Amino acid sequence: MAGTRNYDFLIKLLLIGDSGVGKSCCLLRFSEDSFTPSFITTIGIDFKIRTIELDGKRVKLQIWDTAGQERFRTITTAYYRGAMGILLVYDVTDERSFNNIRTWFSNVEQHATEGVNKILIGNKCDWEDKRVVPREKGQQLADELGIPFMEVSAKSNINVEHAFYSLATDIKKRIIDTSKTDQGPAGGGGGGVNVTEQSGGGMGGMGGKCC
Amino acid sequence: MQCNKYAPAIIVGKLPLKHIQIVQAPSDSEYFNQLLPAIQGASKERQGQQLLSSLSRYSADREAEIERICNSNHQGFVASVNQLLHVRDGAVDLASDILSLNQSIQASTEKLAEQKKALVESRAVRQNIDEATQALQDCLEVLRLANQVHDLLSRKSHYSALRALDELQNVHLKEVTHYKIADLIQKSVPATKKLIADAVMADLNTWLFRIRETSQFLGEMAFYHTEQRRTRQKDRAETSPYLTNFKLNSAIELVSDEADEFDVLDNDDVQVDFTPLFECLHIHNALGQTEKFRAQYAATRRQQKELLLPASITLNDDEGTTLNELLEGISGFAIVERVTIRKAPDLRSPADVDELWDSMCQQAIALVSKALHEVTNAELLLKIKGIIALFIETMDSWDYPVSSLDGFLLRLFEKYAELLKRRFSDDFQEIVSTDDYMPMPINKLDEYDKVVNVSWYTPDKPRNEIRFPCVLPFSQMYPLCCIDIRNFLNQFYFFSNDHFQHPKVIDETLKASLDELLSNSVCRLLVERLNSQYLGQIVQILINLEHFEVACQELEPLLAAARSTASVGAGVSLNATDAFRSNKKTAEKRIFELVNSKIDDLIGTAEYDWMAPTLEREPSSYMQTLTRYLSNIMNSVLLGLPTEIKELIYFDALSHAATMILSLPLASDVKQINPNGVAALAKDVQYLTEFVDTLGNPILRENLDELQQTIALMQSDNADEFYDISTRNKKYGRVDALQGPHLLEKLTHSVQTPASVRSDKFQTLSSRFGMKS
Repeated sequence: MAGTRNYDFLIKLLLIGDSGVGKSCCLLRFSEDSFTPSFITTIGIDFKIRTIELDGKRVKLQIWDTAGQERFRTITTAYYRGAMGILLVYDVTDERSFNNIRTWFSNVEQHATEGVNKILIGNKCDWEDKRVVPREKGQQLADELGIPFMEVSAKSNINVEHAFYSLATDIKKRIIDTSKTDQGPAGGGGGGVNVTEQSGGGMGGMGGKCC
Repeated sequence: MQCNKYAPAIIVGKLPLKHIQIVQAPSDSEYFNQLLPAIQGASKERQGQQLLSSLSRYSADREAEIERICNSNHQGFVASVNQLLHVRDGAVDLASDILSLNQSIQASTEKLAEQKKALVESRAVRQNIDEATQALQDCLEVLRLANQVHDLLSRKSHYSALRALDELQNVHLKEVTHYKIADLIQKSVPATKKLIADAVMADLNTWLFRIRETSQFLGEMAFYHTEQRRTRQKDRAETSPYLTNFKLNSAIELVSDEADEFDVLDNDDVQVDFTPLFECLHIHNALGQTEKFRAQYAATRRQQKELLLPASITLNDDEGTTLNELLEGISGFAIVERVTIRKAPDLRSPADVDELWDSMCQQAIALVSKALHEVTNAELLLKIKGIIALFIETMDSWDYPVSSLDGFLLRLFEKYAELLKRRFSDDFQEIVSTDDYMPMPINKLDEYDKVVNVSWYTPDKPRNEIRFPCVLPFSQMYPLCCIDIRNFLNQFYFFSNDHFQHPKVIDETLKASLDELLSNSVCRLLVERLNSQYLGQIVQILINLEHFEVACQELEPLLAAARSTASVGAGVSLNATDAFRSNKKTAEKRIFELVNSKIDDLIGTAEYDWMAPTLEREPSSYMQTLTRYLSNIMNSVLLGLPTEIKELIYFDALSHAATMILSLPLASDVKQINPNGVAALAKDVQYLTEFVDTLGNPILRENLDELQQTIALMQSDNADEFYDISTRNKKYGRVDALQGPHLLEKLTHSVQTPASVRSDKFQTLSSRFGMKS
């Protein structure tokens, strides 16, 4: 099975955000294109794998879903380091989850690899009746943090695919394409190298494989 | 002296009559006595002449004597004559007076006679008048009586009217038969009788109408009365538990309740007066039309019964009002029938009444059956049952057979059980789908008590040692389902409250329904959710299943104890118990499956460079991720599982991981493996072994034996040992007989080191970002 690698690059992503903002639902939507309204909370850590195609390359996304609850913080924080991209998720119907994004962001700054790609995600954008965080406010925060922003709905399947693709594209650009340019087709290098080195201790940080 | 007096008178009177005077003079008997013989002698001797001469002499002597006497008494004589004259005048006057008197009397007598005649005539007239008066009086009396009949009729005293008419006909009319009026009246009698019969029928119809109007209220009162009896029965049962053994309408109950006797037909709220009916019956009796009346009455009641029953009813109104009204109506109707039959056995035949009752019951049952589909809610059905039960108990107390209704209750119960099952099934569905599948957090002691009290759960720690907040092993669906199960049981038995004759059916149905609910709703729904991708959910389902199994085991004796029938002994066993137990295995398997698939995913990111030019110094990233992941899930999501299951999971996961890792070098596209490649694999296996060692369970290492031995074989300088059975068993006993040689074939002993001068940094890189093979 593992003999023939069925992908060209492996990219590790991490979903963080308050409990209940819909991280697992976004992931389920992206990985299995399904949605089940449920009250299930992620306990500790979980992950899903989906292989996508970017610029003709098969990119395997290993997406780590973390428990939003404080009590699992020690477990989840350990996964920051290996991540090449982080989705900071809040719930547009929950002001608090939005306000906490700054805390999550500083956690990323603190624990994740420097230069890791990030994206701000406002979930549940289909639920206009209950919306308390306007789109503009999300955009404003994203601008302030210097990261891309997207409103999605796991339930209505709005933008979820787009968000993951966009993040994956950015990562691919940053690590693989850069290293390719720098190092040639034979090996990694440049930013990619650095990333790998830095993340080596925690997750055995993985970069994409050049072919 | 007399002689003296006569003599002068004769003399004075007529002298020629001298000898007559003589004859006459001695009118004294002696005189005649002397004279007679003398005359006689003279006549015989023909000496008449002599006698005459003697008499003449005698007369002459006498005359002489008279002359002498008269001479001496002349004066006196004159005076006497005068006096006599005077007297004579007086007498004449008197005579005239008398005459006039007579005349006057005569006149008055005539008047009197006239008056008398008038009187007699008057009397005759009067007699006539009297007779006429009497006749009139008689006729008047008859007329009065005749009028009285009509008066009585108009005063609704029909029977009196009839009696009066009879009396009139049989007594009074006989007395006046000679009058024409009698004839007239006699002729009017049948008409009057008909009038009475009509009036009494009209009255009866009014009464029947009123009865119809009252029926429902009467039924309501009867129901109310039954309710009161129930309450009193309960109150008595509270003070004396022995009485609980006796149902409503049992002899004991009836006797105990005697003190509170209540006449449904005559109380403050309702009075049913049967007088018009009796009167009607009486009058028809008197008219000799009893049979006709009976038939007519029976027909009327039959019609009324039809009016009582609508074509359809709805059960879906507030509190079953329509049904209640219907049954009250029937009840009132039947009570009137029962009372009628008791008070006037001649009027109603028991067969008639029974037939009416049966037909009403059947129709009521048909009506309810027809509308039953409207009922989708168990509470409403329970209310309907309550209404019917009240009806049954009420009618039972009136000696009506209620077995068909009892049978109908059984059908209602089936539906009730169905509805309950559906509702609880929906409830369970809701509970299962809204559960968070997380161990239940408890913040306060009272919250804890609530959960523990409703659940079948035995905490590990005594209550006073528990610190809050704490977490209970099951998710909140468990206590919620426990509450529902208890409610379900209670609601089932609600049906047997207040009259239900089939307790055994309840026991059986309850057991079957509960079993089905637990197996099909709870257990099946949980098992369906095992397809979930969320490990946490599956773990929680497994834990919940475990608790449900316990709950079932606790429920079994509970159900046995709750059985209303005395047929204890046979225990109750639920199929659900087995269902929960066996599905724990399913859940376990699903956990293995999910964990293994994660392991596959992670091993799927292994990137060995089997022909690595340099030696890898760090364990592979995937291996680090794998061990970290295993460790994390064990300490988080799988933490709540029972230790033996956790160990099983580890066992299974490690065994699976070892197999998968071993399959990496065995893959067909791996043609060659150099020592660096083997070393990298060895380093990872070593890392894994160290991880397993930290778990503190030596048995777990056995899972890695094959992997370790295979790698040892690959790293061995003397592969022949594998082919030597004695050393093989000692060193490579676990190595697969086919895989071992297969791997040995792939080994190359030389390492091409194109970049041996590369820095460590780059060596690491190349292994990570190395070319895909």
